[in-house]
Amino acid sequence: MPYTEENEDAKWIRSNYEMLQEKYSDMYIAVFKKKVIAASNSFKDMRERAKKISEHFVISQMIGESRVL
Amino acid sequence: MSKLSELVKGLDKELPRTHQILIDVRFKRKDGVWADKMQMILDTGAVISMLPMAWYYELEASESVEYKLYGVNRGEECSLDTLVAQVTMVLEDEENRSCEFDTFVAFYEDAPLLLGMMALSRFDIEINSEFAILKWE
Repeated sequence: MPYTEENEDAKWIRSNYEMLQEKYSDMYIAVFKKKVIAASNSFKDMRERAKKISEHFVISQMIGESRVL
Repeated sequence: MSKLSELVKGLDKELPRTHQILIDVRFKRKDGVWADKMQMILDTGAVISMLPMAWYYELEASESVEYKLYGVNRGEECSLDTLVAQVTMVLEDEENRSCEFDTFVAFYEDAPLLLGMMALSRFDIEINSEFAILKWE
């Protein structure tokens, strides 16, 4: 089940995209209650770290400028 | 300062701010419960979506098939040996109506969270430089 602040966290990521992109370039991030609770270049590692802090969180990824997708 | 920023240093210019277009999605897990919200990067240049392989083992997915994907370089040495499987996902349109459907996703190591156009085939999409609005009937 989604947690109450899920949509707010998704909006927070969009609103703070530049800051997050600079700080977490090319990393997966987990956000809970407007805080990055885990970040890693490994998706599995990011999730394992995040789960130790919260049962639920929003997952996103910050792509660095040198990466062509 | 980024390497690209160094290129324009002294030219009285700044690099324009750019955003990836993030689309909020949710996938069905093996236990039938919807996973937490995930933001995927809209990739209008890709047909198929991509996700990290670790996610494959947690999602309700069909049997997978091996599938080679290519990026900028079509050379064999630059191909990605992915596993493609059908998964169930949910997207929400601008009026928070959710649309559940099955789509194909390529799973690969720590792949970027890319939402290809196949997943959006039933949506009308309006895009500006920061976000996309999805509409469906």
